[in-house]
Amino acid sequence: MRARIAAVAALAASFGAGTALADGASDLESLLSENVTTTASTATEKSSTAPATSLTLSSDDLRTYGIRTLDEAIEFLSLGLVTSRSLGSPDVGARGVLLPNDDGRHFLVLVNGHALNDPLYGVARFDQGVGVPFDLVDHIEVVIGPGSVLYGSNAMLGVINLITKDAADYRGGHVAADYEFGSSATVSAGAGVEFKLFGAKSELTVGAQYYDRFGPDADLGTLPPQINTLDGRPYAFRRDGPPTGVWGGTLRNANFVQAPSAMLRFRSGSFEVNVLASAYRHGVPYTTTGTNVDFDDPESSSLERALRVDVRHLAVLSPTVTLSSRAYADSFDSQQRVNRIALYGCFDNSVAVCQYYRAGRSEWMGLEERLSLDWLQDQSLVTLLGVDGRMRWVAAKEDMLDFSTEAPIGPTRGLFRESRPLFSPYVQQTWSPAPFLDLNAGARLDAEERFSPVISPRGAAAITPVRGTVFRAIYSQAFRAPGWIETDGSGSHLAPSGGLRPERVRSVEGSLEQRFGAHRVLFGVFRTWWEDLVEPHPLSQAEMAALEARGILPLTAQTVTQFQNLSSVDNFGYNAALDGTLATRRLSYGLNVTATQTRRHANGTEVQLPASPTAFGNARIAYAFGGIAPTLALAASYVGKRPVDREYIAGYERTYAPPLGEFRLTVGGPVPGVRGLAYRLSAAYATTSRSAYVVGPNFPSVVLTSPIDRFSAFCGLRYDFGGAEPEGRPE
Amino acid sequence: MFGLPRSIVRFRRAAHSTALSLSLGVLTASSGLADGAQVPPGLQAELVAKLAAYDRNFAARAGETAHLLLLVNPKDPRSAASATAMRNALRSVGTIGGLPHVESLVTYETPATLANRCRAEHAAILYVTPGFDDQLDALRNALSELDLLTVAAERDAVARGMVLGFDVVAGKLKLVVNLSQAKRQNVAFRTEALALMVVIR
Repeated sequence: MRARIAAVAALAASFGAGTALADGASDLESLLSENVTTTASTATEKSSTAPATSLTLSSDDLRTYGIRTLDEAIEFLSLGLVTSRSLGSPDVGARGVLLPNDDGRHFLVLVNGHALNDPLYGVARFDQGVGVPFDLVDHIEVVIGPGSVLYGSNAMLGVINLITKDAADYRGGHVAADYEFGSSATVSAGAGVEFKLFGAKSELTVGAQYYDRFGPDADLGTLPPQINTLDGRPYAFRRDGPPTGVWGGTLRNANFVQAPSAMLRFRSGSFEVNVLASAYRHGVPYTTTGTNVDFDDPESSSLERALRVDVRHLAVLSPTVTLSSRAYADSFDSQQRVNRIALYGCFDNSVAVCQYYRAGRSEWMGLEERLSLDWLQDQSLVTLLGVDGRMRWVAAKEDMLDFSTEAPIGPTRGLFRESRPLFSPYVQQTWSPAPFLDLNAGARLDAEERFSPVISPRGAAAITPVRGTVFRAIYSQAFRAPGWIETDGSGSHLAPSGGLRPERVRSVEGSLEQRFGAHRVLFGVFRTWWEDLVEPHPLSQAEMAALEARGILPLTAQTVTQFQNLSSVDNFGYNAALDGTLATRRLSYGLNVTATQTRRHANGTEVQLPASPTAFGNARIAYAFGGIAPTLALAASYVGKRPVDREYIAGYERTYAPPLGEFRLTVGGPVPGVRGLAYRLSAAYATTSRSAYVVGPNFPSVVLTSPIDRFSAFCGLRYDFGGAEPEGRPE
Repeated sequence: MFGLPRSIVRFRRAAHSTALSLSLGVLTASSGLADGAQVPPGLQAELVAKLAAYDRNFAARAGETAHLLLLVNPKDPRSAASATAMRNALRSVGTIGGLPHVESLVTYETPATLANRCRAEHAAILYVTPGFDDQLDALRNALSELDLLTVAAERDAVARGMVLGFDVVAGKLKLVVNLSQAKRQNVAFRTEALALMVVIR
């Protein structure tokens, strides 16, 4: 008992002492608590005065709060963003606009400034499919809101830039392993080294990661028996089971992911080379709005592979002129194999099980030149001129195969190959006419043959009337060029689009940020307008007949969709943040809240945006005892009630997913007695087991949604070695 | 044998030479990619202004007005750009360590002339811009016996003998201090400031 009292007293004393110190240097702490960002304007600047609402999620926070993926970082740490999970790849939304089953098309995801979204599908992943060994990530910069002004297509919800570690921060070797009980395992290794090459300061960082998810088993529930009206017999939803007409049950085989990734970053003098390679294979465990598949089939899967190279050079030609050059090349391919009893999946009686095989490949390479003119040589008046020229090659097709022999059971459909250039000049002017005023204006033109050229402007002003107070106003636009699969794709269930316009978004926002020592309060309001959103539109019998008459659809077509500029969205709302540190930075905390009103307009109707909550947020607190004592961290997130993703399909109106609260407790620290060895233990709890994603065939009277794992826990070990400082010894 | 007119050939040669020269010029121009992100000059200036107040010996060293020298490497355009930006940022800072201040750019010649200049002008702070990788050891030796706060724009310079430096780690600002060098140069930061720094002994 005495020992316990002594421990509590010691803790209180250390907390009190820390507070006293913090009070003594609160002005310094206030300055040091400023985040520095580069993504919003490509220049290093304070987040508080950047020309966009910008967040920085640090690797310290990722480690402290048991974060292992980008979507988890967003869920537990970010302001204004929200995630939505099914058993598939998670969706991310911003400020109340979350587009379900979006596959990341409306976020531009970068790694060290290199864009990942491909031109065929526009896909970017937020889980292990992002393709970067997570241990290499130094911090994540998030620009919330339209960001096409410097980055072009896809940056409608925002820009996410994963910045990897310098060799100085990743010196030596590193190996790590995590095991999530009954669910997944991750192993990673990496190294960083600094050296001189031909007299130039040089460094190399490399990392590799392998993630394997093998569970957990998940009970989806069952739908009432369904009878095929054509033959009067019950449907079969498993190829190895009897035709009971019952869809659903427990997933045991198809909830899997395998995701290897590797990265190399080499810098020498004025050159930098980034190379990324990744693969992402995952199961397709159940039927969704876009995929009709046998239930829990272990042979149905999707595979994405990417290889990316980025070479850049920075030349300071004079105190006024800096020239940045970048050459890049990417290769991305995607394959999906889903199996279905042939009678229902392919309307074919010649084989028992058919395999729907879809493949797409895109390659692109380009050159970007960026000239920075620092007119007064003090960064107060800087003109940025840039041009990005890119050539893209895409190809796609789909086949129906006999599952047992992989022989085709019909002609290849939807085959196309295209190659087209993209030319994008842009300009940005920053001006700080006085220490209290920062102005930024810019525009980018994206010209390609499929559409009329798109202009994406941005204007921003930040006023700092007194130290610690920043008012900011921003107007910005962004666009998304529809992927080639949307403009040129066709197949057994997809009619050619017949012409699409780029999606566009406009946004105005204002915010006030106030610092009190090491504490920060932010309050912002926003309003956005989205136009020409591209969605798959189920064709009516009349529409199908018209396309059949023109020879565009085969006469055997059954259910067919077509991508169309179908809807618009407008929304407004506010977000607020409170964060800071206490006790000489031993205690850190944060709270983020967003509330929005979002409406989707289509065909004269107005509905709440499916899967998008009107209120969401997160909170966190952590205390680092220091030394060999552990760091304790608790993070929580909340997502309010929201309609399920099939809300606007006939019959699904007013079906809501329940509010979701998630809590995560993490303990981590060094293993006593073993230098360089550290551990991490984390447990999570969700308040509900149901997501906002409907699973199974359309059956509006009984809504089954994808399950959420209510309890999960993982443990991890990490070993750092050979990382001694070359000169001096840091404390 | 038919060929191109001589003027076109000459023009082509000239164009190729110009392109080659420009490319080589650009490729060999100074750059800082391997140095990582740097702290914006405005923030560096504010930090210097605040930190000076936490140096117990700053007021005695500076006298009535703090003299700041900004060291420029004439062979490195990054250095001149950094010095100009920092000078302007410092000028917009009210006081440094509570004192009025003046800033001067100093073009680097030798370590000895720099040390003499610091002595002659009673410099309180010497700001070392990027571009001195090859001279840092000589600078440390020449400045070690001076009563002077040396501040570097880059963290690596601190391990090699500058007293204080700035860094950005995971998007956050870091202060790095070389404690043994600080002692040699009569710089004594108060404990509450040291608690916020990465300390190198």
